[in-house]
Amino acid sequence: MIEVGKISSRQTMWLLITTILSTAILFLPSIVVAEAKQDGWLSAVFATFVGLLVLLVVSTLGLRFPQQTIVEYSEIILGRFLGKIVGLVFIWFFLHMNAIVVREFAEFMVVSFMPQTPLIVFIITFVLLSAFVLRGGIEVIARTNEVFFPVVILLVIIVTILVVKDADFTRLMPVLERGIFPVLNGTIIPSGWQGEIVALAFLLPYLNRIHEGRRAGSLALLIVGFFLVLAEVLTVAVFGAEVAARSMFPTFNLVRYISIAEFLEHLDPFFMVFWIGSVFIKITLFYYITCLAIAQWLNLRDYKPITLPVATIISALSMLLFDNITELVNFITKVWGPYALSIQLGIPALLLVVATLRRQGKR
Amino acid sequence: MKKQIAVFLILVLLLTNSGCWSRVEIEDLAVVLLIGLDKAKEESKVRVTVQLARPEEIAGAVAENGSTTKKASWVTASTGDSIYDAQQNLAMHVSRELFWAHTRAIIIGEELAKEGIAPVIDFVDRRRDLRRRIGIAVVKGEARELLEAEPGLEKTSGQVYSGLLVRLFRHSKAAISDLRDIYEMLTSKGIHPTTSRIELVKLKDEKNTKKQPKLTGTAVFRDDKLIGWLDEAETRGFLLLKRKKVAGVFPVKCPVCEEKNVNIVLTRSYTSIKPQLVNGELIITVQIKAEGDVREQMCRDDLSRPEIIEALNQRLAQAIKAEVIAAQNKAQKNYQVDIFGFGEAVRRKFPKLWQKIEHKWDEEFPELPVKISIEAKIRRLGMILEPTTKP
Repeated sequence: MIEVGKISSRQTMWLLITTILSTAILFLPSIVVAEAKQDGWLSAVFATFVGLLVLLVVSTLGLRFPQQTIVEYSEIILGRFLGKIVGLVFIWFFLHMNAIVVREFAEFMVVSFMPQTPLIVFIITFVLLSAFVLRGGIEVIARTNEVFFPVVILLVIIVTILVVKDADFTRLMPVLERGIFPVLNGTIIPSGWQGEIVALAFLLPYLNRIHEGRRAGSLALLIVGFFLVLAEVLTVAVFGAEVAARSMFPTFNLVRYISIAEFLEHLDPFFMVFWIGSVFIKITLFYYITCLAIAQWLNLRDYKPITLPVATIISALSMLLFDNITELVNFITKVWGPYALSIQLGIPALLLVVATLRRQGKR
Repeated sequence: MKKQIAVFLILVLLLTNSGCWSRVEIEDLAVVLLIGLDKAKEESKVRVTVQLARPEEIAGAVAENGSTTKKASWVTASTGDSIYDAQQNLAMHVSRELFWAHTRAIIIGEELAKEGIAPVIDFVDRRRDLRRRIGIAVVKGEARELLEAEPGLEKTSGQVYSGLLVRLFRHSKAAISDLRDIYEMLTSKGIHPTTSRIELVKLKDEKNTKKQPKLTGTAVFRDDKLIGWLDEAETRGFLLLKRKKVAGVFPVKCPVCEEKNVNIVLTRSYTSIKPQLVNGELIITVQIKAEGDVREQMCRDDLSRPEIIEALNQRLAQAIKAEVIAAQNKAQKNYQVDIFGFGEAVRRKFPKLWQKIEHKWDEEFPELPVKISIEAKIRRLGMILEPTTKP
């Protein structure tokens, strides 16, 4: 086996929360509010259900093949040729997704903190640091996350308490102003985020108690869902739907808006430090999954030799994918949801149907 | 060997990772306290005035060699084709890097505000170093003069401005807005922006002839263009209609002598705005509940009887209503813009109806029937029961 480490179900849950929440909380609110206006929180609720559906499919599959990841058992289910294609799709997907996340991170840093620093500096330093952590395997990633996670959650709660005095909840009215369709439209994009729970298809074999995987996953989704709803509610209640939809990073604006007695203000550096920490975990996890998947796909004995080549691909891809930030936002808004869901939900569902019909795996 | 390489690498990293290249040392910073924006004298140009802090003077420590001679701030201006251009041109004569994150407010000159404040909002919210908490005020006259004013008490007019804002609850005679508020009012169809008016006035009580900044009333916009003002009494009525807390003194005739005034200070106010459909016609019902204390009595009669208080309640309600109706008339008849957010209230209550009328709301608003009912209650008389009555 390529990975010998084991992680506990609590570590898995924390890892999944950090992974999904880190970019979702910064990029989603304005995109969702642009579609669903003040009902953005409803979209976040619906997206959580989509995530739970993905989880159900992925964990059912995983429990049928408890020793293997999706790259390995897709070959058993669909045969060698088709299975390799499915494996390739997942490798590409995680590579692509990671390149986008790296780009999102770098764009945020350039837009809000260091406008004169070139994008590539952030990308290369970050990916190289990830490559270093990656070599320690899944256990090291999970434990690194244990340092960041409690602080991030604490920070989100503190921010909530501090901005609540500026919130006017009548801004959330009227509910369903233009019917249910804008809300459903707004659901597709966050679903692509909640669907990142598909990472569990690669993590399940390394859980020390695999049967707790589903519970860990669903708890992770519910907690992420809760924080997404909170982010939507607060950005709209503080700024109003129109202003929130016009902002690049409304949650960041929220942190900057905090002012208690003209004394407790300018809190954005704290936000930045721990946000970077959690995005780092996200990038490292996806990077790890990419390397693991490639190693399994090529039947290598170890994934370490390919970490640096993959780092090069991720860095180059994230530079080349988008010319400017509008292209990035447009891609996330228009393409990402359907594209991600077809891979996160579509392919595992197909595999599950075939596996059930052919009675493969356990049970 | 491995150890040596590691030591070498650490040394190299220490030298190369010592900081980012866009760093600025604090001695090279000039902290901006206030920004003033005016139309420049040249055609289609903008003038940006900044008030820069001199930290050593603000800290106030008097140097050993005697009192400081420099002022606590330096006000300087620059013109350009746009706000950003003018701001960059400041670097042509300001020797330090401008640091904007501590700016307390943006003061917009009257002439520029008449042309539209949308470019101002864009300039501010696009930046990463200004926050949505920043105050935005319109000055009657030129922003530059206001920034140059020499305050009597504080060291800079920037400190005066934020001090005045904090003490607004004393009188409720100005309607303040920060960037968030203006941004929201500009992007919503059912409301037009308003913010505080600030003026440079010659105060009567001082021999000092220097003018002082003063908050006086409200600037009214149609979309992003300044179209007029609300005076101080209208502003209180306006704030009540906008569901804001209102304090301040309301004088009413004493019910006993019917001659002199009893002055009542509002301690609490609560406004509910309910759009209603009566026979298919939209009307706005406004209910205001106010509580106040007697703080001053000009005559010497005994007020401490329930029926007198009841009469005072009625008169207080009427006094409040007069100001509310003054504000309503000014908005509906003179300016014909919905500055109260009645449109937003309709949108919240009747979203279907709102979709039909939102594009013509500006025409509907002047004709909109508004029903105002006010309930005022006087709760306390202060530390005495009776004034200087003779037994």
